[in-house]
Amino acid sequence: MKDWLERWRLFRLIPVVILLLGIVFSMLGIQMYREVSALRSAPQDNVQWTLAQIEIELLTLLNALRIAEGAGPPDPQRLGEARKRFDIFYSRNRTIAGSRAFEDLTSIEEFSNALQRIQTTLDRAVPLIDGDDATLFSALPELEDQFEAIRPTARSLSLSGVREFAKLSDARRQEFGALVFETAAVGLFLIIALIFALAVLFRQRRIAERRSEQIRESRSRYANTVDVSLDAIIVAEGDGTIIDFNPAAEKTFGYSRARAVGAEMASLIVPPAFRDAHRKGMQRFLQTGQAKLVGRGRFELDAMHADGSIFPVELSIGAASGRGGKPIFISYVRDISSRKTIEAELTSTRDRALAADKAKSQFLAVMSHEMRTPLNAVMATLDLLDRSRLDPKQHEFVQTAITSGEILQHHIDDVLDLTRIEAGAIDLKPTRFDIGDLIDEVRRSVQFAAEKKDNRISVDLATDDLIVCLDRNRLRQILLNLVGNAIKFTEGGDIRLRVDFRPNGEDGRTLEISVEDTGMGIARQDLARIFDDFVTLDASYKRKAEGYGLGLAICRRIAAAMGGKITVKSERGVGSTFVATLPEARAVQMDSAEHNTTQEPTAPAGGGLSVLLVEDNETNRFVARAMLEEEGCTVIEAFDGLDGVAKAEQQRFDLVLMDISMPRLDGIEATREIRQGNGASKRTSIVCLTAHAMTETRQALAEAGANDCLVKPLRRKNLRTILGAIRPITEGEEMSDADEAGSDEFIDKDVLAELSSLMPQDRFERSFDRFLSDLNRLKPRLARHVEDADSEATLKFAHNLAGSSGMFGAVALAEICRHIQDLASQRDLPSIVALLDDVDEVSRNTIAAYERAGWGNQPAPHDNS
Amino acid sequence: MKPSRLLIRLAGALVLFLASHAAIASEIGTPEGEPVLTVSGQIGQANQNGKAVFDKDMLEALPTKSFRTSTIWTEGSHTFTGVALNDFLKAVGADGKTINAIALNDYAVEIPVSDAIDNGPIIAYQMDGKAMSVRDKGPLWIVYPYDANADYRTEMIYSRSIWQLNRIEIE
Repeated sequence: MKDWLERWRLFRLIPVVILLLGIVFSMLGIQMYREVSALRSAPQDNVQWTLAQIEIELLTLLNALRIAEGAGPPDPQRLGEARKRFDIFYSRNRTIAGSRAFEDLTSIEEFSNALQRIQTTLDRAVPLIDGDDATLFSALPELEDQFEAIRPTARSLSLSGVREFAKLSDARRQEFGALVFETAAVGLFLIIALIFALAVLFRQRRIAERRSEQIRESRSRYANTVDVSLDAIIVAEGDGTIIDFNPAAEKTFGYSRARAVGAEMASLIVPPAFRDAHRKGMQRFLQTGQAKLVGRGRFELDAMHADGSIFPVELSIGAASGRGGKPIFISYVRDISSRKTIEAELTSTRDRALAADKAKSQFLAVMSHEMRTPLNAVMATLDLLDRSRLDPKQHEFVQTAITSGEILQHHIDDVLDLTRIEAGAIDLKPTRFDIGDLIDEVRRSVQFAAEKKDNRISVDLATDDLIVCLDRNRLRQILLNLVGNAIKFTEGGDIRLRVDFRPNGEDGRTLEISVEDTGMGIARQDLARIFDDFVTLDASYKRKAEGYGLGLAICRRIAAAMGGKITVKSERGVGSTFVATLPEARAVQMDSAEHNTTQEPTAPAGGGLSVLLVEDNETNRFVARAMLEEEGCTVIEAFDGLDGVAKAEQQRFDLVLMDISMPRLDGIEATREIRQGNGASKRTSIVCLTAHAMTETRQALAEAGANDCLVKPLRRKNLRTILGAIRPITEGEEMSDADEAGSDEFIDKDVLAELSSLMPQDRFERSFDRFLSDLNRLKPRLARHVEDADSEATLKFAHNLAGSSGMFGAVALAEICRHIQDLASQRDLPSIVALLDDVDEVSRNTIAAYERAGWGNQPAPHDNS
Repeated sequence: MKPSRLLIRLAGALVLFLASHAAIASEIGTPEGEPVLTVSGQIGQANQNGKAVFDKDMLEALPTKSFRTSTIWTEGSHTFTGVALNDFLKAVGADGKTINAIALNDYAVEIPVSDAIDNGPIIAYQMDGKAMSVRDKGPLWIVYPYDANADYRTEMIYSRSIWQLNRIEIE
């Protein structure tokens, strides 16, 4: 019923139905009224009485005639009576014939004929009646007969009248009855319709009541929600007029609800500086529906308190449709002053901590430098002393001093290493080498220490393919540290080195080296801490640790920089197992110097070379000169940068050894001046000597035009490497090199040329092609890693690219990759995003530089000379 | 108009009214011709054995009233002239509630005195300026102004419209 009604909306027709019924009812009522009026204003007299009367009056007339006749002599009074009765009868007949009341009857032929007969009789009698008494008296018998003769006519008149009237009355009664019935029926329908309408109304009322109850409930719920909200809630109309202001808003803004409601929101809580913008924003939203703030989640703004103070708030604004479909704005506002304060405190605390950390790093760098400078001299002197004529006892003393000095250097290097790693300046140089050789080398170097503690070292190589691509020195550093620790904490036990490879998800392999000992083990609670910086483990452990130092912390960082990790398993009294898991680098940087170190040349390496030694420190100058001369070099000394630049101008040297930190003109500037000037040694190899191993320094050196860099202290083997790489420059070579020599801003052609000479032609071409195609896809690939917020993948990608860039002489790209690598290791992905365009530009410039140098996609035939 | 003259006129009108009333009340006269109407019952005026008997002249001497109306018994409209029923009752000094009107043929009907109002029924003695014969429902006929008032077009009123009237009893 309900659905049916709702679906067809029939209840809307109810008024129409009622109206129609009402109209019908009224029409019937009017008709009935007419009928009743017709009955009331009866157009007929009591006609039946009149009809009956005609017969009676005829009889009365006959009676009067007989009385007048029977009196003997004519009696005027009796005759007068007869005349009167005649007149009355005459009048009656005329009345019936002429009255409207008898129209229905007079239209009937039988009736009118009868009337006519009576009238004829009457008319015939009139002369006699109106005559004198004697005439009338004599005519009485005749009149009597005549009137006696029309008696049946009068009777039939009366009877037919009665019959006809009965019929008419019947018809009229029936008609009226039907009318009453119709009216009653319509009235009944009307009542039913009204009852139905009433029912519908009643139902509608109940629905309305239920709805209003629901609305009341939801209103009260809404009001409660708004009232107890911890956030200020302000409801405003489109023009900014506040229409609701909850208790939290009163507290937040310092206005009472009474004061706020009706006021303009902008002038109340928006700081004066933002009011115009606020109003424009509202206006724009109202006109175009475009919103900067509305419905856009939470954002932070400044708001104004009743006392005029400005404070930060977090708010979100929603729009709803209010009265008449006009929009209303609902703002949820939260005072975030305290949060902001805390944030600011945290930021400043963090900044202070960072500053302190930087200061620490700075301090360590400076200290290591300060310690190294005198140590350089000591070590160099000891080296020289060792090579002089000594008796065996003295030789032993010197060897002891050298060993101790090396340990001291090692510690300083550790500190410096850590500092560099901290500064994000770890510089990996992946090369391809035999891991078996490295393991042997490590074993040999610790053999003595192991034997001293009665430890046996065993090596287990799980594969035959032992050529890996990693930074050999860094890997050695890790292995030495791990094996060294194993020896330290094991007595009379076994130390087992195990090398294995696992395929990693991509196309490379992961090197897994485990160092297992049967020593004292590490307490469970200390396991996590042993990799931390500057950790002091418990006293007993520390006692045994004998200078445990920063080794593990550094190893962990190196492993991380390589994209790998070091894990440890240990059990007290059973032993420890350290596992270094290192993914293989993809590109190889061939380091010729590194190769050369594998053979220890005994012949002087720098025979016949003229070397300019620029060094302000007298001791260092003395040591370096002695070393150089020992290698067969001719040495010219300069006492500072200016002196060095002047001497390099005058004479052509085969090598310039340049100290970095010098008074007047430092090594970097001096190098730049030599390169930019037009002196005799403009193209001479310049190798810098630095105590700063920081990448920035190397970068500055490369930019200034230095060929290489040696970290102090100057050691013979390093010096020999440098000297071995330099041949005396002949005039011819200089001419032929004029076009190619020197570094492009983006590529180092020498590196590339050297690589192509070292590698088989087809393999080189394949590698180089792959590298070039990598360059083309560089930016999107890097961007993808960064977008995935995968700093590990980014680190690895940048690391690999830095390696291959270095190998193919793409110096600028290698530099920027190393930078990205550093950022990635600090998980500073946003900074990398900022660098994406630079990377792209550098890679394109690099490709262009290759093409300029004739190395484009068709590598130039390499020069074997 | 000065107040004194208005007063004089009002006083004059009052004197005339009282004088005429007194004349009617005191004297209805005596019938000289053939009597047409005999009034009996509670009346203040009598001229024959406690009854007031009127001939044609006496009735015509009373204030005249006439109107035009149709009736259900005649064809078309006619002008009826006679004496207003209320004037007549005053003239006979009637003091009753009901008028019992009786016709020549002994037709009798009761008319409440309350029917006798201004512009109400008249005792008509002329139709269209002519005296009515007994054959034409004369000589006297109580006629209501049927056309002027729907209330007079009812069966009750029609039954009270007695013609050939010759006797009245006031009860």
